[in-house]
Amino acid sequence: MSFLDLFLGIMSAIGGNVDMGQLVFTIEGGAQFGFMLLWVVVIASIGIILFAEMSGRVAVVTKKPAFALIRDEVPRPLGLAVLIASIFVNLLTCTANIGGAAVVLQLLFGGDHRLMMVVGAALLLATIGFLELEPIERIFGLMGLGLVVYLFAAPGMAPDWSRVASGFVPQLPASPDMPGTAVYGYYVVGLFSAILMPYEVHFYSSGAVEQGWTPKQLASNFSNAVIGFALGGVLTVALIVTGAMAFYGRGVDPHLLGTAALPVALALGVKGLLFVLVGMLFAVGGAAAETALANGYSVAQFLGRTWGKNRKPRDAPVFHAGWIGLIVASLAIALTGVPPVEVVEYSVIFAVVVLPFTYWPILRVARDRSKMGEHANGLVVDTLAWIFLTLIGLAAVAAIPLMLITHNGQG
Amino acid sequence: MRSRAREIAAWIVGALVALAVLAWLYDRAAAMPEPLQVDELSRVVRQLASDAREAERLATALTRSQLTRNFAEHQHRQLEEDVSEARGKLAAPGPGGDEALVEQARGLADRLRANLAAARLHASDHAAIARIGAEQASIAAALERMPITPL
Repeated sequence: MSFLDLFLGIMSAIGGNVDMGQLVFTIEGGAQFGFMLLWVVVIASIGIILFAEMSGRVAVVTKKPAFALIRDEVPRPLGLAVLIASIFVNLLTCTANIGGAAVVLQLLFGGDHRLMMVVGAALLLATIGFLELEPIERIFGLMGLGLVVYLFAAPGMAPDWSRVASGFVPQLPASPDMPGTAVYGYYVVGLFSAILMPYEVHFYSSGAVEQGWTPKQLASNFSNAVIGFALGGVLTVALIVTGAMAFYGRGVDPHLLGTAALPVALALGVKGLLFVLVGMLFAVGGAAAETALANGYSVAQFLGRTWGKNRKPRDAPVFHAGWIGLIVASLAIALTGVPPVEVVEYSVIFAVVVLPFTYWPILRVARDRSKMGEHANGLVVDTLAWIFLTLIGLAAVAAIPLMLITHNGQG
Repeated sequence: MRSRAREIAAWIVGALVALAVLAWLYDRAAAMPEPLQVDELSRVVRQLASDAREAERLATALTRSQLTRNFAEHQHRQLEEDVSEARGKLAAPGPGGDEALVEQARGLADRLRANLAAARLHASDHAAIARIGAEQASIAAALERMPITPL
């Protein structure tokens, strides 16, 4: 693998790292709690680095992506329940991202909302249908880099860096300007889940198998996961700082997608606004593409059918029906007019419940020396992974009660 | 053979659960309007105040030529829809003894919505936008001052 390939892989990972869920929970979280959620980004980023690297390593060594592990490592009825739940979460996530893409298209070009949804979904179908996997990742990932404009907007708003630094220490809200502890808990769980969304490891591990990675590429797998997701975490930090500086204590609850772009316009003007909107379009479009493909991978792998983006539909009918069906069904739901920001909140919260069942089989195989040989987890990775699996379990238990108690974080 | 039967049974259970959820959602959606609870009124008023504050910031950005026409048009339209939805919730009777408060919120919501529509029409007129922005700020302040019991 050349330096250019490595560089493009890392850049794509950064640009493809942020989706609707992260945009919503970071900007809203910053508006509600200032810098107090920054520590969650650090913890969740370490978690996604650990499990993405592990899922890639397992896929390379055993040639089994995430859902093939669920099929083989989890009892069949539970595995089936995980599959159904994953399809449901994929549907919500894809619906939110198609709806979000339509909103961004309108912010850029005007036009009718439903027409933009159809245009967005048609472009998505054509892009996935006609391009191979690597160009799809590159296009969405590199164009999604437009979001790095937040890295310039956030410092431009002159935050108090000592207060930013204090946000990296876990603490409970004490200021009378802030909502209560339950709402804070909702945002902690939501942000944690938004960064660890299960479709990311389904897509990542399936891509590793499909692109024919060998053990020689384990170093690239490591660098892509560590550098890509760590820099993606830096971008997520910039989103929270931007949300905090623009909205915290100013009475604005940024519940529209366009509102997330407004601070950039106020800080950098029209050029910054256009840059961030293009970044948003490809970030949410890329997330819709990844979710759709992850759905095709999940269904085909669980049912033991042939799968692969680079295979023709007649050779892998279940896989292709899986991603096409998800886009069509998501479009149908989005056309009913459900607000994408509300849908993404549900998708992120329901995803937490599926997370332990997605990550547990990966950990189980990654630490098994009989399957992984010399590439099995070392002591440090294994310990960290257990700690994260415990945190994920706690988040899964707390997610839905917090959503109900706080009326989706509204208090 | 038995595992196949189990798989079919699981699909049926899954479908039944999905149907039950849909029935519950339908029941919720079709429910008749009830008087507003204080916490619901508080949420609606906070949302309206947030929309007014955002409208004020949009006006600031417009007067500094920091927004594109499509962005300003669409964002104002979305805020209008948001305010209309909140206004719909305020159509329900107020919580006991607070009818005057709800009536005040209705009036502010109507002014906010009219201003948002005007801002869409006069987006390129900086003087008009500055005037509208100032009025949105005063509406936001009035909404924030409303004496609703905190949650």
